[in-house]
Amino acid sequence: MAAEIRLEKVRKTFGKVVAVKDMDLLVEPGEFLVLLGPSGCGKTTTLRCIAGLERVDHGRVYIGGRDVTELPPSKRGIAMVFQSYAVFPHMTVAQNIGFGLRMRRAPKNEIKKAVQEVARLLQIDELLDRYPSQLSGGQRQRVAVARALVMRPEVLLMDEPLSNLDALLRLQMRAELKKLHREVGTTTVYVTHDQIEALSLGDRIAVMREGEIMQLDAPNEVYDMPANVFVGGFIGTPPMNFLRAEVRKEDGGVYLAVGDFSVEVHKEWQEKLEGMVGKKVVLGIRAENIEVRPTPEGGALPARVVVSEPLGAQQLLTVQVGKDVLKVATSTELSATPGQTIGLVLTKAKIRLFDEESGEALKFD
Amino acid sequence: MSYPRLLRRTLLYIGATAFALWVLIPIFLIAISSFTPPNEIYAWPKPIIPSRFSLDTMRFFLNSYGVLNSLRNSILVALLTLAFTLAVGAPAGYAVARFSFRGREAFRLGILITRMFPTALLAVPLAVTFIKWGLYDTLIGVALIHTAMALPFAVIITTGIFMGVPKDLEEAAMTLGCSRFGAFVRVALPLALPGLAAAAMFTFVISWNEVFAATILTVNNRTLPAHILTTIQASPLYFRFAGGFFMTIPALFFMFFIRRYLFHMWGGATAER
Ligand SMILES: Nc1ncnc2c1ncn2[C@@H]1O[C@H](COP(=O)(O)OP(=O)(O)OP(=O)(O)O)[C@@H](O)[C@H]1O
Ligand SMILES: [Mg+2]
Repeated sequence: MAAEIRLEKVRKTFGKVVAVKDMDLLVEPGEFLVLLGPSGCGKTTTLRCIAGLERVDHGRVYIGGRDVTELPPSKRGIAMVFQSYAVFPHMTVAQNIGFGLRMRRAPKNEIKKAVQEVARLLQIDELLDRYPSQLSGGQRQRVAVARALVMRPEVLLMDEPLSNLDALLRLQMRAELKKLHREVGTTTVYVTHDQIEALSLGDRIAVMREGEIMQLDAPNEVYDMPANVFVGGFIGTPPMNFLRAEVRKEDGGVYLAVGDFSVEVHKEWQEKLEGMVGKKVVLGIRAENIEVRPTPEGGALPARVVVSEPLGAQQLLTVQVGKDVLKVATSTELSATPGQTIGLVLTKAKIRLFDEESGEALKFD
Repeated sequence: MSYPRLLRRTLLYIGATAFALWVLIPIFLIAISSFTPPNEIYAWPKPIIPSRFSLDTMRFFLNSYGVLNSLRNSILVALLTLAFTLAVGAPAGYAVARFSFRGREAFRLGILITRMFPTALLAVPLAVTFIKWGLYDTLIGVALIHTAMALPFAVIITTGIFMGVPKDLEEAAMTLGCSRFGAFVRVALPLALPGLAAAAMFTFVISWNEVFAATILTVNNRTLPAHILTTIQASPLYFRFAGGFFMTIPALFFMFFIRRYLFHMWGGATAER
């Protein structure tokens, strides 16, 4: 039922724009893979190349081990949910859902049964006789998903299916899509630019930028171990903080100099950093791994408060260390007025280091 | 409503009313006259409302020599024009709406150039060519000329119609098992149908009303307007009224049914349902 998808050196250009840049990708059977990235990075184009709605410039596309590069969408065993839903306005919900089966010339009673079954699964069985213009956005979205699922595709492709829903409905549908995937088990490629959606839905996340995959990993790894500065800065709310630092050595100990301040490093890193003394690096750390103290006393990194934003349970502080701006979260109890100097304590184990020039993560293993 | 706005409104309505009357009064007078008994048409002073409703005038017109025959010709020519125009214009409109190809904008503008040459200028060479090709005095010949006249509009209108049908819908159909052509037939076409019907009526009316080319290119196989034009000098007044009214019927019909739709189309809006 569920098939593997393999892209080999797939390239797609529009005039001068390289939308997908020689992409290699392997999606395991039954996996829920999320394509995540900023607007215009080529997510939709990648999906459309898999679907067969775009001809690739070169490279090959395999679905279930079969080379489908030259096949039209109808012969690829895929189904797709469009961002606009693309529900046919001149057909009822039932006709919409049954459309694909009718194209396959399935027997009428079978179509009817399958339509009812999938409509029940998506809780739209009451709406089967309505026309799309009589449906809400959320209901239309369900029709689009039902229309794809009823085909029992080997591969399900979804392009930002939730982006047109309001926040609450999106939350609800997100959970339902996840449940649906567990029940149906179809290999799914899901495009979004919403990182929360990506983190919550994906078995793995492919973070894209300018037509290339920057990192392809499980959500927690993408979050905790960003492969480069771009991924760290793209994922997380607030995104990862970055501080410019230099590797220095004094009295036999290696440390990171942030301005005049020295940040100790993990024991394990000590000897690995030995060889890099004098090298400029970027220190990355997430807001939740920074403890905020009212004053810099007692060895905390001094930082000047720029803005404080109360966010209900927490307050978000924008602070400045040297030339670098950081976002840190703290309890609302700590009073922080702009201009005030506070202290930051970085959790050593959670610090990530990146090469200053390339932005790539430094690996110590 | 503030005073200047009220004033502007009033002026606007006065202007619109004047314009409407300017168009409607002749149509009204012609319509009235063509249902007045023939002898009353010459009466003086002329009653605005005829003493009785009469079909005599219309009957006289329709029974006059050559009218029924040219009516048949007109309908045939209009239908042929319709078929040719849609067969060429709709795919062209679809292509312009869906595909980006080199020279698309030039094509969109260029197609209007065909309307820049006055038919009068082309009349003699056309007649000569048609005689050479054996198309002179044939209905197909007239229909071809009418097609050339209607085609630019047809392409522009159908482009608008197909732009109003989201591309996504066809792509969705393709992912659900349709070929490109199948997606067009099952999704784009049904959604475009009301618009295409409007374009078809429009084409019909263009052909129905066209008089110049039809007069020049035919001798025996006259279309109705050509027939009326060549016989009108020698006809009684009520023949002219009846003929005039008869000629307006398709246009009136057309306006009445697709008026709402035309606003949509030419406002660039979509073919919504
Ligand atoms: N049909 C097209 N013609 C020309 N350029 C295109 C076309 N489709 C996409 N592009 C370009 O290719 C690049 C990638 O587009 P794509 O739609 O894949 O981005 P995306 O990641 O889906 O963005 P978004 O999150 O905004 O949907 C963009 O620079 C876009 O302008
Ligand atoms: Mg997109």
